[in-house]
Amino acid sequence: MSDRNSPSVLVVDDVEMNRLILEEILKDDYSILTAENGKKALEVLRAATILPKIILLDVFMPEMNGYELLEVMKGDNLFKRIPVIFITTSDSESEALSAGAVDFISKPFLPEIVKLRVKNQVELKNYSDNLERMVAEKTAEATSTLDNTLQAIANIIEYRNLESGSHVKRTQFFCKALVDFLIESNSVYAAELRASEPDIIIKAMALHDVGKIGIPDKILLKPGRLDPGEYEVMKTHTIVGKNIIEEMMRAVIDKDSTYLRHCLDIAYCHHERYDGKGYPQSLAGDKIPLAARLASLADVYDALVCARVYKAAFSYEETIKIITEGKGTQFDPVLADAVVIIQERFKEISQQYK
Amino acid sequence: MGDIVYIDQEDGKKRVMNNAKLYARLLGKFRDETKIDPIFAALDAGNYEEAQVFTHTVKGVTANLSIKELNLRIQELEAQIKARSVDPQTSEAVKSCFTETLARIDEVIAENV
Repeated sequence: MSDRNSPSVLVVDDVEMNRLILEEILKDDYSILTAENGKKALEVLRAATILPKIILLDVFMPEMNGYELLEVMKGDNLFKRIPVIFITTSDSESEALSAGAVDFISKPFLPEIVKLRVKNQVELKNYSDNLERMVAEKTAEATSTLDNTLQAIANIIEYRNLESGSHVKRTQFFCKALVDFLIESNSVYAAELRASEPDIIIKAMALHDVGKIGIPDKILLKPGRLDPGEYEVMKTHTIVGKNIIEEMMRAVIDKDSTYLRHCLDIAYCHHERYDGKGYPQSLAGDKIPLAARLASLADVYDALVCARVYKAAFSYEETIKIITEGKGTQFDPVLADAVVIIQERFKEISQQYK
Repeated sequence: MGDIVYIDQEDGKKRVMNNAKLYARLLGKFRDETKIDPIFAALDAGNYEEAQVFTHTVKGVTANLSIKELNLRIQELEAQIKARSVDPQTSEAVKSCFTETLARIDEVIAENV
């Protein structure tokens, strides 16, 4: 007899004699479950803690026949993955295969053939189960590798861009505070945010200035206000950022990565203005991706409340006044209003991560 | 008539991994549970579909238990049912073969217990 760890096979046939023969043929290698028609088979499947590796299924049965059971199984996410071998007579083999069976055995049963067909299909099932598990593991691994890589790149930018201190971290927290508020208050953007994986927007925020890696030190680290020529160079960090992330997108397996999509939107568009007077594409209104509109507010707020070599820090009150004045011109009005409403939270973040 | 093989028990036992006791048990079940009357009742009622389901079941079991002659007779009958044209002689042959088979089953069971 098989031990309790052997894979199980479900034998479904209305004639007990046929079930007993199959059981005798297979019992040394498998634990055998039986059912006398399709309905009973469903009961067995629903009660099983571990699903059978394979089902041997008779075609003609009272209550629910083989074809009907197969149809029900196709509509169930778990059951549809169990391979079915039809028990047929020689005249319905092609019908059995076209109904979705992976193989068939015919009466009279030939024990060696039955054993081999079941063994082959169980091996195939094990193989595909393993593949699916490996794909899931590799995907998780790849996602976490991407995550770590992007955060490492964000750190590199922060180290190089000396003056910004914990700028990256603060903008992420501002962004999170904004997103949380917009969702909780059921704002017009609540649905869009929920659908676009807001946690990923916040992670992607870390890469908003990734393009600064392409800006020469004498401009990036200049201890004073940039002249118009230098400013033009500085503006290219949005395009450099876009190029860097696009190259990453070409390299990664997951071409539809929401993460990289958000990174791209933010790096490329976080200097756009709501009235279309921003750079580099002069996008206006909803044409600017929402993630980038969020990034713009978080980024500008932080720039205003921090001292820079070319300017003193604005007070929190002055900063809120500037943001209110920019409502509808520089900033998305809904987002500007939100910052005004949660200004105390922004202030806390700014003080906490100096 | 000497060539007729009603039950090929060597072949039948091989199918159950030479478990003679199980084979005898299955033949006993066949003797006790298998009915051919429903086939003819369905035919008399003109219900060919139902008659076909019954012959199908008997065909499968006789094949599996190596009940050879009856299997051949049933196949012949099934073909006629599918063609919707049953020869009364074929029906009679099935019935008498079934009776003979049941008698032979008792002999084979006696040899295998």
